[in-house]
Amino acid sequence: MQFIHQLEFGLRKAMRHRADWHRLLYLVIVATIAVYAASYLQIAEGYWVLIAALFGFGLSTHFIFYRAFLVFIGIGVISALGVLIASLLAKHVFLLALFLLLTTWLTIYAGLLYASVWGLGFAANVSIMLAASVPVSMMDAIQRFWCVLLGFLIAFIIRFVFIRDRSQAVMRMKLAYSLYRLAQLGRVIFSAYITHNYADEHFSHEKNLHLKRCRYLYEIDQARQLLTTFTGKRREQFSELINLIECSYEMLQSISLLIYRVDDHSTFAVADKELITISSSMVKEFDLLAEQLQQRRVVAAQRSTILNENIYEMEEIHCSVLQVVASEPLVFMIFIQDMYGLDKIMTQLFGAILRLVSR
Amino acid sequence: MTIESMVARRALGTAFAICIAVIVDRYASTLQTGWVPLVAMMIMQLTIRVNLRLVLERTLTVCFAIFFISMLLSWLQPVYQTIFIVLLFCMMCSVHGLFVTKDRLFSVWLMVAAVALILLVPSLSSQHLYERMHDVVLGGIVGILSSMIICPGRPEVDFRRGVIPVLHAYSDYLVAISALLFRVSHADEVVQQKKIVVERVLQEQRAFFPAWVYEFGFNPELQQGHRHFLIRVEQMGQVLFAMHQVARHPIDLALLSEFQQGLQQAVEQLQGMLALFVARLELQKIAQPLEDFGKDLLLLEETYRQVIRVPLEALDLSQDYIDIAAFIYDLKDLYRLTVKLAEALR
Repeated sequence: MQFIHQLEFGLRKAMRHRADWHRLLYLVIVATIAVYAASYLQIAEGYWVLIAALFGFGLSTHFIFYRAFLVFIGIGVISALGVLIASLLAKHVFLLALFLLLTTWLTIYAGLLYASVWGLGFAANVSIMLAASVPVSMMDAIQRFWCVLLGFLIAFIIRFVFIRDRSQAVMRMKLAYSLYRLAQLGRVIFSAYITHNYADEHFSHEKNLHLKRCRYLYEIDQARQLLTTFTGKRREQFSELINLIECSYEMLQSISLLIYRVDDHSTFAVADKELITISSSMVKEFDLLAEQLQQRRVVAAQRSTILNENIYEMEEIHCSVLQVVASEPLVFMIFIQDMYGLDKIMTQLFGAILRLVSR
Repeated sequence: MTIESMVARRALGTAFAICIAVIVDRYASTLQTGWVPLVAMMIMQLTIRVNLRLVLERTLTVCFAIFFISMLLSWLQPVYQTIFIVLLFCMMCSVHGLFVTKDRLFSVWLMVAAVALILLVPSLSSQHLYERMHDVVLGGIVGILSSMIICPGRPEVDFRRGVIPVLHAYSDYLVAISALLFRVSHADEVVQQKKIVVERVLQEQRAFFPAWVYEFGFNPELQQGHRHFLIRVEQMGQVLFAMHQVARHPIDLALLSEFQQGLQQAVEQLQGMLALFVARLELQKIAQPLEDFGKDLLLLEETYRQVIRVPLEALDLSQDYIDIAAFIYDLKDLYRLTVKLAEALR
């Protein structure tokens, strides 16, 4: 079931997300030019241009020119030197083993301490391991060195010359992903209220919550890091959006606490229908907000009032039934207030997204 | 420092595994083309070292990829082979971009890409299928044995060290939230910073949050206790985030001052309990047993009763009362969770 949700999420993203397609296009251009360069050189070790270019593609996550330049140059030179040494040592197994011991330890150690250099170190290490796997002559080893540098250079030049800076699109994408993740988190939270055998599924519910929460936190963290590359009005707008998304997350966390506060799970059955409608309308609203942000167009000029109406229905159930049935009616009241709070934040989010897309 | 030693251990284990794999590749493999270290490296990327199910999954994935790619390559003319490999790589990367967001999983795709790229070496393109499979299995065995023998995973230690930063971050966040509730100057900025710290320590990718406890294949005897503990720790995070959103609300300070003493005492007591948990997890000797702490939050209960005395109809009218009630509920939840953690730590 979870896989189907993932698949659905992925396919939806594939249909909508332009930034992914741009990245794929960038990859195809890099790969094509690298293949052409490798065949143009007509040397035995020409395929190293392609290998290095593809690893170079994997590194291109920095949006500031000088930072990206340093990354490309640093990793390019280190990889090229590593490849050269590994190629020369390939015939001497024990020396090679020692060299790989050193490089692997360094790259893994740095990668575990600093998450941002994980991919970079890994790319360099894998290049070195590939070079060590096929022994070659001195001349071929030197050819590999230059081919690796050329590969990284191709990836770098295409990134900054042919592909324009897409940091705004990436930022919108990250924020939209955060909203999609919130929708998924909301769905999981409400599934605990709706499901009748919650006691049996307690662990899988907690695990699902953990996974969805982690994915959301990852996306918003990325967005927050990206925010530092913006200035002026754009920064203010994105900052406002991040704050509102974070408020929605906090509100969802508050909403999720009801399950631990109600001892008798059968109490939820009283408001089963209302909870289902609130859940589905909330998920739809998050999806719609993400879609507007992603597509940079106004899908709906005004925010729907369905969620608000559904919460009102729940409130009526609270006043008429839950206050009598529930052992602690106050927790339901807090839940309803949180839902109204979420609805209010969603209205603010709608306005902020509208201002951003209709500039 | 403690985290660093764990990092050094993992890095050293992987490095030695690669070192052994290179020697095995040269002397025991059939093709001697680097399959053994590649697969060993892939196995060593697992968060839990000794996890036979995941190891088998990864080894079988590589075997399947080799079989599939080799069959396709045997049908293709050499001219089209490069194009095919490039297209395959593009497809893998887009699949990664669409379905996977965990940074470290990217390494797996890089590995698969490397496997595909090795096939570019002309003499290996479509032959030696079974020899290659043999080498892959050999790499898997080297990976498993290395993870079991060289610097093996120590779930107990790793778990404790992974949870300590989370509890530290929670404690700081709780204090900052309390300051925000009582409108202390600059509390808004501080609480935001503390929140970011909490969000980061809760992520596997950025910290050493022991999410591997949830994975299949982790020692079943240990799993139940660790899982219970970790679930409670995560629930504490949920409560803190909920408290943050309540603290953002502009509650009337005059009304708030009526409950201030009870709330502050509860926050201090919870902070003390979190500090005790950290001390216990750091294996320090503590003078006072955990069960003596926070037996009852008398003032908080009194505050709660003060709020509850107001009829529900009045609560309907006053948002401030609901906010205070929500904050007290959150504190009580936090207290309930810390008691459960204390029981688990005994």
